[in-house]
Amino acid sequence: MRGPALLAAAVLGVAVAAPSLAPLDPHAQEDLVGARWLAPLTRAILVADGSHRARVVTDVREETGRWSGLHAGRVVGLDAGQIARAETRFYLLGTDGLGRDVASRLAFALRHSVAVVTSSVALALLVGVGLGVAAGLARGPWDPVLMRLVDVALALPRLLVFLLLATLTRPSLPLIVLVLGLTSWPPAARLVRAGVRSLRDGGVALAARAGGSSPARMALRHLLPELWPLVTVTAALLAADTIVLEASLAFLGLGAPPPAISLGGILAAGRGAPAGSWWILVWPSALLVALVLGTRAIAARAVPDRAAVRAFAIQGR
Amino acid sequence: MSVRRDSPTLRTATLGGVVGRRLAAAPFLILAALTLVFLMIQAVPGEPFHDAAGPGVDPQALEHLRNLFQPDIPLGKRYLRWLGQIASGDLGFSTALRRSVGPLVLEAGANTVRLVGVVLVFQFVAGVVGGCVAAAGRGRWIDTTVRSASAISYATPGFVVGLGLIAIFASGLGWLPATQMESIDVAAMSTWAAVVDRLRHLVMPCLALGIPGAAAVALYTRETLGAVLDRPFLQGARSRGLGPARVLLRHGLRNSLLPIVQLFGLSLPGLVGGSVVVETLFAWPGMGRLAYHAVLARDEPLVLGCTLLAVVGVLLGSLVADLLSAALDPRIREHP
Repeated sequence: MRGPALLAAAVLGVAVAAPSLAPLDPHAQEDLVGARWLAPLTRAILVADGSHRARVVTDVREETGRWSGLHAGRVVGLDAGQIARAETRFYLLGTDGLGRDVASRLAFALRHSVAVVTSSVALALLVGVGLGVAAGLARGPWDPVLMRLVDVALALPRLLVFLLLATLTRPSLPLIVLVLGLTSWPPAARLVRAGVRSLRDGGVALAARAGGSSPARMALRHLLPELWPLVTVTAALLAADTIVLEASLAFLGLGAPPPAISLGGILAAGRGAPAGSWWILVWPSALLVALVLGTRAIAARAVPDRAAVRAFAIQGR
Repeated sequence: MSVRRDSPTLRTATLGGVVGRRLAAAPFLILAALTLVFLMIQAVPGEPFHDAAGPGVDPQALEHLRNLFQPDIPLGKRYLRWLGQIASGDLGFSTALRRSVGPLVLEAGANTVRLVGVVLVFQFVAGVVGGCVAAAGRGRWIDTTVRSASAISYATPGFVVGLGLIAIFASGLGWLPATQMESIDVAAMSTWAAVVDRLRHLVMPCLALGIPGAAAVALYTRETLGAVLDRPFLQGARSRGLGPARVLLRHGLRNSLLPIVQLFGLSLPGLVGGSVVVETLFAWPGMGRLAYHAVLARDEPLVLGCTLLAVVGVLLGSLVADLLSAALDPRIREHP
């Protein structure tokens, strides 16, 4: 459990502390011409002089008392006063096509991902666990009806459903959370229902009923805690799928609108990159893969029995 | 109330009976899916289509849609009217492309079926082969390699695979075309050259859509096959002197094939959803790309048409998977 737990803690830490961790403002376009497509580990200075707009100058050097640097591929001369007033810039992971710091953008994209994914998974669990418990306890026609509903909902391609809803309204952050949450509950409902079924005639349920618990109280206080590992695994697997789906939507330009920064959005913006600027694709891709891999690893470690993971398999992507 | 238990049926269900039952249930499943889509449209906050009006939007088409979804008509009546329209084959009129939605969607759907069909074959062949190789070398380096490579590929979204492929094989090396289904001058090519041209266009979209799925199938095959290989009857087979290949393929794989076939049906919704992103990335003229462009043009009838066809297609595909597993395993016939 230790590796994945550490990873989760690190991701959550970065997500929460993104504003203070990010070296630069993720939206700042300090110099559209001079700062774009700078390679990782580039050191530069920001020269702000009265007559010009601020310029990001790289490769600053001094030769025989004269300072010079590179600005948009051209050598520019600088005087000592400019050097003294300049701010330093260090682009750890490079810059994008608008001269924004990729490292800062990734930190904020992670924050966005975590926020969207946790809230929509919470919503999905609320619906899925609720329906799963109801179907598990129900006797009579309700259980088959609910389960056929789950079957049908599982067969809906989530991305197309989202496209439909995105056409009917304008994409916004709440809508995305709502849709991601409301389309990902079926696997949770199915697993919880199976769990409740296996417990409802067992000793715990019998004792609870003998003690006078109502069915609702029995489900919430006595059966659900037994199913806790199952719910954890389901949540982690749902989260992994939701990370991918959210990134795909943002890649298509249908994610949360601009002030939000998403991994998919960064990847989409990187498509126009000139040949050789690998970093704009590599870093966000690596982060995305690591997030999904890490989330699945949490599920695999916390798993009560492998059948739950198997039941989840590759549905819902 | 006593606990109900499944009593084992003594009568052996025939395959024909199962096919009949499933086929009879299919319309109800489709109806349920359509209902779900309808309810989702109704659940969207605000009046549907309220900001669809504008220059370039056909007022007639908009009126048609408003009539279908107008909130002042009772929900039940609206629902029935909507179903009636679909049943009569009228999917509406595309506001952006100014063509009837039905033929548009079918034409694009055929291209998607071509892509998804090839992807399905690729992902199951590659996945099963990978899983078998890993299971054959259980506990050795080959097993670890296949499993870690699969875990990483499975965690990589299709469009990320696609971006990587484009960067390497199209922009970098220039070996493969990155857009469209065929070259513009394909009509002028000889038959052989045209086939090669189409195949070259197919390679990257197929890999982008299929690699994550193939990785999932490989992991799954490795796991089920690994579990089967430990069973006593396989030790028996080995002790009878059967060769490792025969034990693995004839006795092991056959017994773990069933869950893999079930995966086929489960992977369909994801493939159709993933095709939206991959088709858009590679400008593949399929239904996913059509739906995406319809969204950008706020062309509701077209998006609705695409969604409906996709839902129906996925349900039919799942039905095929169900029937396949019923054909493979008599137990499923008895306890559907």
